[in-house]
Amino acid sequence: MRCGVYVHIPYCSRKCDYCAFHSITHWTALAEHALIDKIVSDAMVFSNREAGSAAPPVEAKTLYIGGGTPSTLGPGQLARLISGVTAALGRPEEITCEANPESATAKFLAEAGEAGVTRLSIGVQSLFPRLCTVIGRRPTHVKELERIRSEWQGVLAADLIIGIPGQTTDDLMADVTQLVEMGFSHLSIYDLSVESDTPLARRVASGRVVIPEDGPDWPAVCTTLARFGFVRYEVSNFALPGHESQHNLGYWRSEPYVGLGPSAVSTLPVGDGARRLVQTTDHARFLCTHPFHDAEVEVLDGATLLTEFLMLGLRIPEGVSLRRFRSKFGGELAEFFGRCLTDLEKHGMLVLDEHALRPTARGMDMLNGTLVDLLSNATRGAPG
Amino acid sequence: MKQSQIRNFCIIAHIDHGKSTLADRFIQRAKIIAEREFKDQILDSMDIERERGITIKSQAVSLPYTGEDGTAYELNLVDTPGHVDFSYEVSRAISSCDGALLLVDATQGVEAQTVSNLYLATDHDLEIIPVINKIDLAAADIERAKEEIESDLGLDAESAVSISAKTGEGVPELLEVLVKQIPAPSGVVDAPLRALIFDSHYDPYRGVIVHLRVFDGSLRPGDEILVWSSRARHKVEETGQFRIVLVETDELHAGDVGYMIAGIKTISDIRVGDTITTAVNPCAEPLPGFRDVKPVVFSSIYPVDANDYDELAVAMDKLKLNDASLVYEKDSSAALGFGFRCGFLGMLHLEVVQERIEREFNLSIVLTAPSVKYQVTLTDGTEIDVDNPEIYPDPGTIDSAQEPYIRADILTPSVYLGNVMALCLEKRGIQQNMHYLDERRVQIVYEMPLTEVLFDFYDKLKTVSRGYASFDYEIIDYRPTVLVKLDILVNGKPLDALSQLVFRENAAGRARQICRRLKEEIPRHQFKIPLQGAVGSTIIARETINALRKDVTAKCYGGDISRKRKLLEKQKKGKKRMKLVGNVEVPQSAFLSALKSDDV
Repeated sequence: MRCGVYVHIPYCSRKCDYCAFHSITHWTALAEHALIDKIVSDAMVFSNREAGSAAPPVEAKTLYIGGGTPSTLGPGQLARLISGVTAALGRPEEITCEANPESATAKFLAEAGEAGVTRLSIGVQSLFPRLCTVIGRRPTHVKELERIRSEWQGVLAADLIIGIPGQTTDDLMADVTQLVEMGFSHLSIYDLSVESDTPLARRVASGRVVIPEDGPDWPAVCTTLARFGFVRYEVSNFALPGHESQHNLGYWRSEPYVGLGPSAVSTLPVGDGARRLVQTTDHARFLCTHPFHDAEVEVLDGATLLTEFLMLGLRIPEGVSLRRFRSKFGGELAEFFGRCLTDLEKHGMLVLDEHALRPTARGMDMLNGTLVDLLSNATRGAPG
Repeated sequence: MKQSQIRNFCIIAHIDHGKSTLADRFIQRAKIIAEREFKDQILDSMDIERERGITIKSQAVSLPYTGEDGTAYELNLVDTPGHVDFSYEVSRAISSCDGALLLVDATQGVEAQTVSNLYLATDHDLEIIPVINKIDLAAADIERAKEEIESDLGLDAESAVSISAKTGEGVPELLEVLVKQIPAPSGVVDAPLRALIFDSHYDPYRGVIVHLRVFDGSLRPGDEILVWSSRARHKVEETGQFRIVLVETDELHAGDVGYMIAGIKTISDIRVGDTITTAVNPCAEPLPGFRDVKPVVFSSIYPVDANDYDELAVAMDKLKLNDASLVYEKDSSAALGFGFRCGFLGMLHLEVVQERIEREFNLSIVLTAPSVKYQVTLTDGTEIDVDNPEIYPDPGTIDSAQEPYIRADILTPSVYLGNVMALCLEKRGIQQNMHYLDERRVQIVYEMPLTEVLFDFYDKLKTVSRGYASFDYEIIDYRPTVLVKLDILVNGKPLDALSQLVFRENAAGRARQICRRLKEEIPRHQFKIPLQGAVGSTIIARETINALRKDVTAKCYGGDISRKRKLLEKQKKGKKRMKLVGNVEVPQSAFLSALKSDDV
C-alpha cells in the first residue's frame, strides 16, 4: 500500500506563543538518538518486515519530516532518520523537511541535501519583527533567508501567517513579494488561529491582544500571487506549477498515510472503513511501546469517511472525483445531497460537472459554511 | 393531633434575608430527615431555586416539636417566595397560616419588601413575631434593626427574637416563642369540610397532588370532594403530611396542613386559592381569598426547532400545574412558527419560566419582546386591550392609548438618593412622596409606567445604589400615553419576534440598542446584512453586519482531520439552533440578548 509518510520531530529550541503542536524545548542527545532509532523501528513495523505485524506492507509515496523543528536535530541524525525510514519503506521522489531559518545552518542544509531532501519548508510567518513579537516568535531576518537560498539547491517553501494583530495588507504583500523574488516557489499562508492553552490564547482572553475582525485583504493577496505565476492549489497553499507538495495533496485526496514519532497520526483503510491511530505524546512511553498497540485508535465508519472525503476534497480546486465517490460510498454524489448542491452552485460556491464536484475560489474561502450546508442537507446517510 | 397542639406559620422576609436557611435549621432540629440526606435550602427543590438562592415555589413541611413543658406540637411551616413577582404565591401561603415569623437581616435592616409582606400578613390577621437574623455577622446591628422594626413596621421590638439561622443560635428560643404566641387553629371539626388549596404539584405517577390547609371539618380517603369554583368532583385516594417526603395519614382534619391525591389528571381543575369541600355535605360559603391571577407582562414563547412544538405544549401544561400564576394560549409568528402567548407576573417570573422550560424539559426556546397590556381607544369609540404588537391596530384608526402605571416604593440609603431619583426620572417617574426613615435611609414613592420597570429598572436600581436600594411596586391605574410600534428588520425582513410597542420618545433609543445587540450576536454571513429599526416606513436606527471575507479552516493536514471534522459536526448541530429569517441565520442568543436590559 502506497502511503504518505509523516515523521514528527518533537523538538523546538523555543516554543512560539501561538503553537499548539506537540514539542519539547529541552532534550538530550541520547534521547534524540533513541527517538530516531524508535522511529526507524516503527517504520519497520509498518513495512511489515517485523514479525507479527498484521497490517498490509506500507510503501512510502512521499516523506515529510515536520515538527516541532527538524532542523534542531544534532549532526547526523537527519541522515540516520532518512536512511532508516527509506530502507524500511522505500525511497520516494519527494522528501520534505521543515526548518527554521536560524537552525537551518550550512551544515544542516548540506546534510539534508545529501540525505535526499528535495523540498525545504521554512517557517517564516512574517518578515516584520514587530509582528513576530505579537505572536511570540523569534523574528526572521531576510539575511538568513538569503543565505539559505544560496546554500540550498532544492525546492524552497515558506509559511506565512495572515491576520496578526497590526498586520496590514501592505505588510503581507511585501512579505509575499520578497519571498517570491528571493526564489521561494511554494507559499502557505495560514490565518492566525488562537489555539486553546497557548500563551496567545491567554493574552487574547485577558484582552491584551485583540484579534482583528478583518485582516489583510485576502483576495488581493491571491491576485498578487497569481500574477507571480503561483497557482492556488489548496485553500492556503500556492505554488509554481510542479512545485506543489505531493505529500499534502495526499491528505486532501483522502489517501492513506502513516505518521511516525510522538503525537503523529496515521489513517489506514480497514475493510469498508478506516482506523486512525494517534501516537502518544509521552516520549518515554513512545520509546518502549508498539506503534499499533499503544496508539489511541479512532474507528472511522462510512459516514465519517464521507464527511472527511468532502471536507478534505473540497479544499483543492480539483475537488472530489465522482468516480472515486461512487466506488467509496456506493452511490452518486448528487443523490446524497440533492437540491442543496444546486443551491450552492447557484451561490457560486461549487461547480458540478460529469467528473467532479469542485470548489470555486469563493467556495474555497467559504468552505466552512458550504460544508455545513452540504452536510446538514444530506438526503441519505453513507453506508455503515 | 388536637388543634391546640398545631401551629401553622410562615416565614416572610425580603430576598436574601435568610428565610430558607431558617427553614433548614427547623427541619434539622425536627430530625425528620437523616443528616446525610440533608442539603442546604432543602425546601427549594428546583435547581434554579438552589442556584439562584431564591424560593420560587411555596413549599410546606410538618415538624414535630416538644415544648419545654413537655407538650408535643406539630409545627406546619409554609415556605414563601420572597420576590415581588411572586406576591400572589406569598398571599396564598400566608392565608393558610395563623402566624408569621417576620425575618429582618441584622446587617441590612428593614427593606421595601419586608414592609409589603408585613402588610400582606396583617391583612390576613396573622400574629407577627419579628425575628432579627444574621446576628453572627460582624456587621450585625441589632439595636438598629430593632429601631427600624418599631419605626418602619410599627411592631413591638421588645418581642423580637434575635437569632442566627446559619449557626442555629437563638433557634430553640424562637421555637418556644412560636408555640406560645402563634394561636392554635380554631376550626370546627364537626362542620362541613372547608379546605384551602394553597399549592399543587404534579407527580407523573399519581397525578395532581393538592396542597391543602383544612379550616373546618375533615377529609378522608374514600370521600367524594367538590372543587368549589369548577364544581368538579373527585374521589380522595390518599391524604397525608409533608415530611420532606409525603407521609400518608388516615385523615386530615380542621387545623391540619397536608396533601390530597384524588386522581386529578386535569391541571385546570385545580386553582390555587380555591376551596375544597365534600360532595355529600358541602359547606355554605367558600373560603375568602380566591382570585384570578392577573398577569402584567406578556411575551410569546416559541421552540427554536419548530418540530418541538408538541413537546413545548406538554412542558407548558406541566409548568402550569406547578405555577398557578402562569397563563398562556396558542400563538403563531411568521418568523418563529407556532408557540404560546404567555402572561407573567413580572420579569423574574418570565425568566424563571424560561429557565425551567430549558432545564426541566430540555427545550431551546425563543421569547418575544415583553409587553404590558395597553388600552387603546379607536376613532370609532371602541376600546381594545393590546398586549401584543401583532394585534396593534393601524395607527390611523387609533384615537388614544393608555398604559398601566405603578406605584413604586423604594427604600435607599440617603447617599444614593440622587442616583435613584435620576433613574426614576429617566424612567418617566413622578415623585409622590419622600421621607427620611432615619438619618441614613430614605423612602421615596414614585408613580411610573409599568413598562419602564420591565426591562432594566431593577438591575439599574441595584447598580446606582451599589445593591442597597430595595424596591416594591403595585399597579395603580392606566394613564394616557403615546405609543408606536417598533419593527426590527434583518436584511430587510421584519423579525416579528422583536416587534414591540414603545413610548414614542423611547423608540429611537430602543431601536438603536436592539440593532447594536443583534450586530454582536448574529454571526457574519457571506453577504452584508443591514439591521434596521423602523416605525412604520421610517427607519430610526441602523447597523450593518459586514460580509465575511473568509470562512474556512486555514490548516488541515493529517493530524488535524479528526478535530476539524468534529468542529464541523458541532457547527452542523449549532445550525439547528438557528432561526432562518429571510436568508439570515439568527441564533437563539440574539433574541435573548436583544431584549435584555442595557449594560449597566
